[in-house]
Amino acid sequence: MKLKFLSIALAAITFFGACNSSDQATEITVTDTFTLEGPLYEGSNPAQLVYAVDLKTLLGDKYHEGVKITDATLASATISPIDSGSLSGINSMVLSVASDNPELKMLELGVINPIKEGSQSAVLNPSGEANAGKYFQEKQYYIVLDVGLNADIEDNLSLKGEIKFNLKHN
Amino acid sequence: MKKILFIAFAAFFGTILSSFVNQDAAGDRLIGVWEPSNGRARVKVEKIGAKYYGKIVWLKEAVDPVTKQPKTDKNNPDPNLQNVPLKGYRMLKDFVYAGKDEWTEGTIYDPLNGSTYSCTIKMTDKNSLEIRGYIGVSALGRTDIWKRLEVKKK
Repeated sequence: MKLKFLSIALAAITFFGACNSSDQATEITVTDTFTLEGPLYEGSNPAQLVYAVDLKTLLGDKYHEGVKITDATLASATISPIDSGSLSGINSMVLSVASDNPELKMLELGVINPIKEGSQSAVLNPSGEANAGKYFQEKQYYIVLDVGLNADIEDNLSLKGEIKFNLKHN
Repeated sequence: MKKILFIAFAAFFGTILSSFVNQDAAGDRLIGVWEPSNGRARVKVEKIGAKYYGKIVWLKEAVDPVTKQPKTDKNNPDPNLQNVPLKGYRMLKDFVYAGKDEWTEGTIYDPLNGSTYSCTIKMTDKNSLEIRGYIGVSALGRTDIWKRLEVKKK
């Protein structure tokens, strides 16, 4: 009886091991501009991008018919100003993803708080748990950047985002 | 004959289109600033894509009494996200308008214990919401009444 159990366990381990061994890893970079339209108020202000998922372009040579992204974790996110030289007046940033699909819940991917006054760019600390893999199975999703301001701003605020994901796929 | 058919088609698609637009407008009534019954926070509901989200825009006690710094989400189960500012945090997430003054499929986050609950929202009148947070089935939950705040525009 014990031998039977061990055989089943061994078979299961071998099976799942085989599944995992076929997974590939690819790092992708999303570069885009977040625009917050003024007037902006002290506190948290959101900017959002609609991100169209194009696996052919993202995976390049690794793309094949039926490819499926299983895991997507934030490797790094660097936000820098476009119009001015520093992130003056910005005290925090939170990066999230959201989808119109009711089955996909918003995920916070990274945060920086506080941001040192006069910083040229902000490097967000990635979440240790958020897995956005299912978002890459959608046609599109939203990348949301919440920007915490120290004071009101009358003008628009444009920020460049360089967001890197580690993808796992078959 | 062709003209009549064209008009009939146009009327049919117009009706369908307007029902979508009306549905959207009905859902958007949730947008605004709301205050829970305990009066300790104010939550601004916004739309991202087709869903509704509510973030904390005001806290009665905004400063952590220990650190003397603005409060952060220190009870977040993910240690890497525990310094997300509480002011600005989206405690209502992913609500979909289901019709009949109800928003479903969403969650509510309790920053006091770092727990996320399933949640439904029912608008009982244009200035009142019944927010029901629950685990598993709706019967096992708690309802709070939130009131709409008039926001003075600058």
